[in-house]
Amino acid sequence: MINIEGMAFTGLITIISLLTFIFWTKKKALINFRAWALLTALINIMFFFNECQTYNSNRCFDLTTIFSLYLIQFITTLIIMFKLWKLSNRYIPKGSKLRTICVTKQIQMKVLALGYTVKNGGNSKGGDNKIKSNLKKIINN
Amino acid sequence: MVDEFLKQLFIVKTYTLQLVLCYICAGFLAGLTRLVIRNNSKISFRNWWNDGSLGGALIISVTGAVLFDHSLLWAFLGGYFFTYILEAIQKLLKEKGGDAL
Repeated sequence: MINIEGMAFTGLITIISLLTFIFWTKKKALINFRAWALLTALINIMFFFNECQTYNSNRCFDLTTIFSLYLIQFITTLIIMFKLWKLSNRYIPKGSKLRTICVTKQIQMKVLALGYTVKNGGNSKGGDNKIKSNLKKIINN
Repeated sequence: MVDEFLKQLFIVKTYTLQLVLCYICAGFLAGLTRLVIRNNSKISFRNWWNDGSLGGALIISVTGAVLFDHSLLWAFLGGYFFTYILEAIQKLLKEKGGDAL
């Protein structure tokens, strides 16, 4: 009996990570982000082949290997999220006016800045000022 | 002692295709993890290929397999930390080469 659900899940994540890798490569994103996408794809390919094995026969990996792979994925994802957060801060305009706006607008700005960072892959070549002016509009409205 | 080591390496332990593929995957994972963690955006995939992650993983994983157990974790850790040793050796050699010139 083959674990169809597991195969579908890992296969889907693999395809998404590979598409992200291609997208970030086209956008000339930072190597950290591209490497993370490739790492996630590789780990999920390994999980995919692990799921291909039958329940009763020996699987490719033992539990220690599986948990260590999960740990590697978890730690690298945390690092990438932290990097995204740090990089998104540069889009947020600085000034005393920022403290006076309501929390909803602040969250909205942060989400937009994160979105831009993901779209650019941390690459700061051009368009920074345009993004900053877009975010300033939120403060002024 | 060497005979015993070689016997252990090639006769007692069996290296299946699956195991070798696991070691290669571990080498790739170690190299990619280094790329994710390091804070140098100027490096490229070519640097990563040349910095010895794969070779390091293979060397340490075979040693780990002989001394301890067949394990992807050993291969990964070997690939990850052995690269630093390779880098240090490379730097030393460059310095020595620079002095000689």
